[in-house]
Amino acid sequence: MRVRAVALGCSMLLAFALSVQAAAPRTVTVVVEQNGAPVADARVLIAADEMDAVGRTDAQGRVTFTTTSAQVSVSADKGTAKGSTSGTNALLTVALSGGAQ
Amino acid sequence: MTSGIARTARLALLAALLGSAASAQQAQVYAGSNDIPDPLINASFNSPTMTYGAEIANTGSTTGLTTSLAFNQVRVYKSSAPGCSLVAQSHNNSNNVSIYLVTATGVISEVTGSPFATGAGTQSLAWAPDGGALYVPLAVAGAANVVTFTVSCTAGGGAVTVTNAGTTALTGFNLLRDAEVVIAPVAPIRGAVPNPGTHLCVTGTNSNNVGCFPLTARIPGTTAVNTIAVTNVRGMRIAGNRCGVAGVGSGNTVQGFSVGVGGVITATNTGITTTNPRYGAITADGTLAAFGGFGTQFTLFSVDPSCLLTLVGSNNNGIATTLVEYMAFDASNRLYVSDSLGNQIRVFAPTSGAIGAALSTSTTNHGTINAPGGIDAALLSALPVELMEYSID
Repeated sequence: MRVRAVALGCSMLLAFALSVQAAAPRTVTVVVEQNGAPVADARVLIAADEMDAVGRTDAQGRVTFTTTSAQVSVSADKGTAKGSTSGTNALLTVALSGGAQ
Repeated sequence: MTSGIARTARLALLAALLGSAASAQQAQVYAGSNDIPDPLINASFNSPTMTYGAEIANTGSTTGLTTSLAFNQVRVYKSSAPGCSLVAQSHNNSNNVSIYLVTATGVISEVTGSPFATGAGTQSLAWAPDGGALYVPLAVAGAANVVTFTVSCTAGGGAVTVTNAGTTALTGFNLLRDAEVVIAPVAPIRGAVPNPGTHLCVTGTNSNNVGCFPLTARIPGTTAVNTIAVTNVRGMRIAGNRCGVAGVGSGNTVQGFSVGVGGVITATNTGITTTNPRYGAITADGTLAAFGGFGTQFTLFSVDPSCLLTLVGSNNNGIATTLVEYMAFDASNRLYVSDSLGNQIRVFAPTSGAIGAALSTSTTNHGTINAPGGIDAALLSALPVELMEYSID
């Protein structure tokens, strides 16, 4: 997901630059952790103004995506452990709670 | 006797026009492909078989990926004039809308000038009930602009003319998410006489409200008749009987409502979903509503004549990475569900008692698994009316 998202982000940048009203796409990285440790293979749901996305974290507990929205909401889960966050930063951390790590 | 014949035929004709679940016909199904480029998926459903025709190419594009569903819609206007049915498709990356003409024989092609520029935030679409206008609300944070296109078509498959009639800034709304035009109740037979609609109703995600704006010469006014509060509101649909549903994007709730003759919107009750709602559908007769959500499930409600929602149930397609956010009913109340990111379309024949098993589950002929996005369906009948019953008494 990360590689393709970044690559397409470049082409989207050109497309959006041609539109006066368009917000510039930006890259957002989500880190999922539990008790301070990264969680691999967690399911991540990302809600933005222009799209919804799903992904799974890599070995470093990360998912990267591109959006034109200033604000995004993120929820993540692995097994019965769940967490969520929202914000405008380029790096968003979701702390899972509950379930077995 | 003469009056009896006329009365019986008239009633049969009216029943046909209002649609009948018992007379499921072949339907034409269109969906966006959530891709770059964004060809139109084009299929025919003759239960239980979905047959995919060649995709219809265009120059539009979305921001969709194999892991993300960009918000784009496809909406069909089925004309009573042969050869003037239209399909509109939004493209949120290229910021424009493709409009296609469907001839009386079902041949579909982009109209002259398509795609038509709209602007950033292009996501949703709404046809006037007579196909004479297409409204494009723009989902831009901090704004509430609607682009109006007027559309004319010469019956028999003649030229289609599309004109940008301007952009209207709606007051009291922020980030327009969805739109619907309510049909004028004075029309004696729906679809048989020109009916431009009386109000354009919209949802504002960031303003947390739903309201209807009066239409004058196709153009929406800038002030809503009234509004109702719906938190983080997303998709919205209104049936011919003016019963509507709107999704609460940040909760597991769908808000029911009614729209009065003067455009006054009144909340009824709420229904519970299994995922945060995104986009929904309501049958033309206003008896069933379905809502997709941020996940793999959709939820079905029955709707009574007072526009009250009753939960029927939910359906999970079992594909863990699929987003099931777009769906549409045809005039036979069959439900077409986009399994976005799973490249499948499922068809159901739900009732007020159950969703039932899928009549069909098919994989589209789109080349990647981004698809499908927004979806719509219309019965294939090329006739302006279908005479289902005739008797002499």
